[in-house]
Order: sequence, then structure tokens, then C-alpha cells
Amino acid sequence: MAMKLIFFILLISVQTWATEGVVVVLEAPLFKVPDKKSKIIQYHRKGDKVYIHSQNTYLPINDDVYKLPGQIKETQAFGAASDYYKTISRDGNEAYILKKHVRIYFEDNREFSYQENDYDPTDYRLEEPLSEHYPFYHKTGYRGQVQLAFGNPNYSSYPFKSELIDTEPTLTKEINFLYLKKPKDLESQRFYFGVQVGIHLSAINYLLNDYKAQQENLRISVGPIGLYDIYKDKKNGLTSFIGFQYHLLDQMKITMSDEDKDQRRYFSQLGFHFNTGLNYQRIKAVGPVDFISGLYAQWHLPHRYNSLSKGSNETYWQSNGNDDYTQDARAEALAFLGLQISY
Amino acid sequence: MKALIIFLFCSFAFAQEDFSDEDLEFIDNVQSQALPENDLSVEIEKKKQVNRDLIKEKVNRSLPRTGLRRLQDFDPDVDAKFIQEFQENLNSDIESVIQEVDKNNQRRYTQNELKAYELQLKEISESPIRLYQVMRGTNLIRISDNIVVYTTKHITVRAHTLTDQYHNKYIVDKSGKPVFRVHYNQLSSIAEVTNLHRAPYYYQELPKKIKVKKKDRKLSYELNFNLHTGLNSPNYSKDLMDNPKSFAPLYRFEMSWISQNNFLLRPGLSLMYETISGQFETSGNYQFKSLSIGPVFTTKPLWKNITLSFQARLSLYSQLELTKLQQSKELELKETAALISLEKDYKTNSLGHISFGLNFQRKWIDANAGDVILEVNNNSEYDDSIAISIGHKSLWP
Repeated sequence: MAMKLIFFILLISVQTWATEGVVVVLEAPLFKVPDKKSKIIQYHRKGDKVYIHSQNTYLPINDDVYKLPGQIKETQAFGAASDYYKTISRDGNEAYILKKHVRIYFEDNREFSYQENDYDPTDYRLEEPLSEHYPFYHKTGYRGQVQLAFGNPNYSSYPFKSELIDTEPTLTKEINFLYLKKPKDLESQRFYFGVQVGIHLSAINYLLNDYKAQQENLRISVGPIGLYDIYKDKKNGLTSFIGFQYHLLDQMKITMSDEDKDQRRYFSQLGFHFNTGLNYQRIKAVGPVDFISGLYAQWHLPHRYNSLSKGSNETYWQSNGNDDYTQDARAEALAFLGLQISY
Repeated sequence: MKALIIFLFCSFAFAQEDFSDEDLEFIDNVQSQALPENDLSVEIEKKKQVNRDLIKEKVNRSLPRTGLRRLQDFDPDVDAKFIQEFQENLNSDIESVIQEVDKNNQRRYTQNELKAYELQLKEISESPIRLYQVMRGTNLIRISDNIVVYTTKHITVRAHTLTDQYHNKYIVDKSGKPVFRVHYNQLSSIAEVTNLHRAPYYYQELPKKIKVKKKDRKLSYELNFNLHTGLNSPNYSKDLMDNPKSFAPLYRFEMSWISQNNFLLRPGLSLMYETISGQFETSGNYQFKSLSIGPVFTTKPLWKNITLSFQARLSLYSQLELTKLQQSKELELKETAALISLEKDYKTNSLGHISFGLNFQRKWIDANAGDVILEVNNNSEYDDSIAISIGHKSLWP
């Protein structure tokens, strides 16, 4: 009878024992009451053991203990509604600790459902290495580029009335200005977003059966661009970029001429193209200036050039009035050299 | 009344410089003449004896303990000079003590000032106590006796935060009692230095830190070597070459460098050498040769390890060689090519990564024949080709 009584008392008291937990954050505060704005009594450091009141860990027998981890139903019994565990401070006073600051040794299948925090909200330590001017704030994360690009012109010729005999493409020249800023909130500090302004000049001379022609393209474009640093060390960098360029001006100047006369007309369109490319950077090649070189491709969608002026010679033009011609989708590839300043 | 007069007279007599027996007898005579000698004579005699005893006692006290002579051994006539010197020394000692007292009380306070000073000291004693650093060699004034002491090493002390009217801070002992005072600029507060991290009074979650990797130690990339074979359909070059066959076989050797990252698009560079050898419908043959370079972008595996890549290339060198009726001519070309391909990667144990691909290329050509007269197609500006590829991929480092 006495043994049964002792066994019964032990069985009841098992459920009243406190459970141990370990602090999983750098500095876990103990609150006087279960409220984040309440007075902080003490701090526990990472790895400290704390006693958790059984009201938070009590699980009725024959309930969830024997279920699989995915089937565990959080109940009020182990404090699902509250963000706090009841504990005691080092001087024996009642205190409360945030649940996410503690991992409890349940010693049953509830430990399977524990999820580690991906970051420590109490870790006040500064990341090494400290910034160059720490603790003073300096504006950083800005980048400016000037690119001078060269390539082959690639655009549709005007549908000449005369038979085309020969072409003489000239070197495409482009100058691009980029102003970029590094967004602070992005987890990866290698993205730069900014704006690109480009000026494109190219020309192709055509020799036709009856006359000569020249097509000159002037394009001024502006648009957003994004850069990503693939690789970066002390002296070298590799960056890829992708952008969208809206054509503020895309003007095709077509000049027809024969021995005694010439005539020119302007055609234009409002369109856009995409930029994709890659560049290599030699960091601080000349003082604070980086040297850059790379390749990029421009992807043009089909678009139509419309005449801005009227023609007067029917042998030259398809129509002396409103004239137009279509350019198919196409790509341009350019190589560039440039300078970059980062601060 | 008589007794008082006698006392004063005796005191006067005691204060005189010469205390010989003749003087005492003279005093007795004067007293006997001035007053009846009946009942006062006994009292006067007692007083004389007292005075003698007093003088003897004082002289004995002032004598050095090593001295051999005592007053009772003195002959009053012989030692009168000694007694005179003793009196002079006694007066000079009193003066020096008075001077010392005056020296220590040079500053006299008014009642108001004393009250204000008292209140000030009270406020100082109620002010908080903080830790300070006292440098070596600092002069501290001990409050108990106004003695200046100096520190022989750096010490940490506790002192009240408030200063008095002379800007002195009060250093306290273990029981909190002020023991030293020192000018405030001789103390350095170490609380500001030691308190680098002040715990927040209220809990506040810190924002998620961004771990910045400023420098890379290695660059991960893949190298691809691909062989392409397929068919080229001359559109632009149809008129250029005067009636070639509809398709011509092509061969390409491609070498590409592609960076490895976790993004959807992986950038790289592609260098390609291409040859197209074709025949004319009648007789003769032609051959394109070109070397081109351009950026390439490859997606991550989209489905069953199949990737999609697209590239645009710029010709570094391009030439068309025509051989017809045993005559040959060469044309310099300028090309821009766009290629889109699907590739599937297989990993083998012996050869590493082997890739198979299918691609489509459109090439825009501008021919410049110099002095040679050509016929260039007005309607088409490109040649299309389709090819399959096989290649080897290696991952670095």
C-alpha cells in the first residue's frame, strides 16, 4: 500500500517538475511580466541553462506525445498562445523569457518541430571588418561609369528602288553614362541599380545601281539598369548587367545622292531595346578611377520607322509623302572601354 | 576686597622680570605700610610661598631632563639672568602660536557665507558617487588636517559628482565619508569609457544584419567546348554569291566561359569559329569563315537538366571566299549573330560533363567588296542556320 502511495505521488509530481532549456540567442532578457515593454530583470547569455515552468511544457498523457512530429497540435497546455515561458531569475524571482530565445529539452517528439532562427535579434555585435570610416557615416555605394563602345551597325536598310550593289558599313560608336546606387536593404550587397543614358551613332553607305545612299542612325536612349558583381577582389572585378532602354530619339537620316543632286529625309520611331552584358574592371587602375572593358548585346524588337519630312524625288523614295519601313527584330553586339568611379 | 588687592599685587609682582628676595621684602614693606599687618600677614606669607612654588615648578618643567641643576640649587643672584631669558622665550613661543593660528584662519567667513557653504556641502554629500581615475602625482588635500598628499600611482577612486565653490570634488572612503578633496579637472570619469554597451532599459529587437562579403577568394565558373554541325540557309548571301544551293553544311567550334551563381541567368563570354562550305547550283563553291565573340547568358536548368542560352556575337574576322570557273575572290564581311540554344547536360564518370544541344542562329551580314562589283539582296539581311552540338563542360575551380 505504501509503495502504491509513493508511486502515485511520484506520478503526479513528475508533471510538476520544471523543464530545462538552453538560451539560443546572444543575450536573452528576463522580463518581469510577460510583456516586451516591461522591466528587464536580468540577462542570460547564449548557452545558459534556464528552468522553464511546467505550465509551459506540461503535456497531458495520451495526447500528443505519441504522435508524429507533423501531427503535433499546439495546445494551450504548453503555452501556444503566449510568446513567453515562465522561468525564474538567478535570484529566485519569477521572470518571463521569450520563447524564441530558448530551446527546451522536451525529450519527446516536440523537439522535432523546433525551428532554428535564421538570425539573432539580440546580437548587438558589429560585423567585421568595420567600414573604413567607422564610426563616422560616409555616403557609400555609389558608382558612375562612362563607356565608349564600338561595333558593327546592324539595322535594316531603306527599301531602295534601285538594285543594291555594295555596302560599306562604318564603325558603330556609342557613349553611355551610368549612375548607379547600391540598395541598402538587399541582403546581397552586390547589386547596383541606376540609370543609363546612351548616345548611339552609326552609318552605312550603300552603292546602288543608279545612285548612292547613306543611312545614319542617331539614337538617344535612357532607362534603368541593374548591375551585379559576380566577382570582386582587391584589384579585379567582374560584373554583369541587364537594362532596359527607352528611345527618346531614334532618328534615321537617309541621304540619296547621284552626280548632280542629293536629297535627305529623316525617319524616326519611338521604341526600346534591352541591354545585357558583362564587364571586367581593373580597380583603381589610375588613382581612384577604375578601368573597365566588356561586351554587351542590344536586343531590339521589330519596329517601324516613319518619315518626318516629305520627299521630292520619286526615283529615290517609295513615297514622297508619308513614308515608312519596318525593321525586324535583331541584335547588336558591341565591345566597350570605359572608366568607373566608386565611392 | 583686601584679598583681591593682594592677589592682583602678587600677580603684578609675579609678572615682574626680577624676582629677588629684596623685591619680596620690599613688597612686604609696602604692604606693611599700606595695610595693617595683623590678619593679612599670614595670608601674604602664604601667597609668597605659592608664587615661589609656581616659579620653581615652571622652571623645572622647562628645564631639560638631562639637566643636573634644579631650581632649589640655584642661587637667585647668580641665576637671575637665566630666569630673564626663560621669560623671553616663553613670550616668543606664545607669539608664534598666535601667528600660526592667524595663518590658518586667514579667510574669515561671514555668517551668510558659512550658511551657504554648509548647504553646499550638504548637497555634495547627497550627490551620487561615481568612479573616477586619479593620475599619478595628483595632489589630494586631506580633509581631516588640510595636509596635501600626492598619489604615487594611478588609482581608481569614488567621488561625489557635485563640486564645491572652488570646483573641488570630494573623494570618499569605503564607508562613503569624504576623506580627500581634489580639483575636478584632476579626475577622469571612467564610467563613460567602461560603459561601451549600455543594455536597453526596454527590450528592442535588433534588425537582421546583412553579412557583406566584400572580397571573393575564388571565382566559380564553367568552361564549355562545343562542336556544332548543321545547315546554313543563305538568304542575304544568295544574291551575293549568285545562285548557291539552298543549304550548306556548317561547322562551328565554340569555347565559352560562364560564371556560376545562384541566379536564374548566368552570364559569360563566347568565342566561336565558324565555317560554312557550300556549292553553287551550276559549278564552283564558296566558303564562309568567321571568328566572333560576344556575351552569353545561360539559364539555370529549367527542366530535366535542360538549359536555355542566348548570345549575341560580334565578328572579329569574317571572310567569304568564292571559287567559280577557276576564279576566286574574297569578300570581307561584317557580321552580327544571335544564337539561341537548348542544352542538356549529362554527367559521366569517365569524361565528366557531356552536353548535347540544339541551336538556331541568325546572322546579319554586311559585305564590303571594295572595288569588286556585287549584287546584294535588297530584301533579306540575314542568313539563318540550325545546328546540333556536342560538348564537354568542366567546372572550376
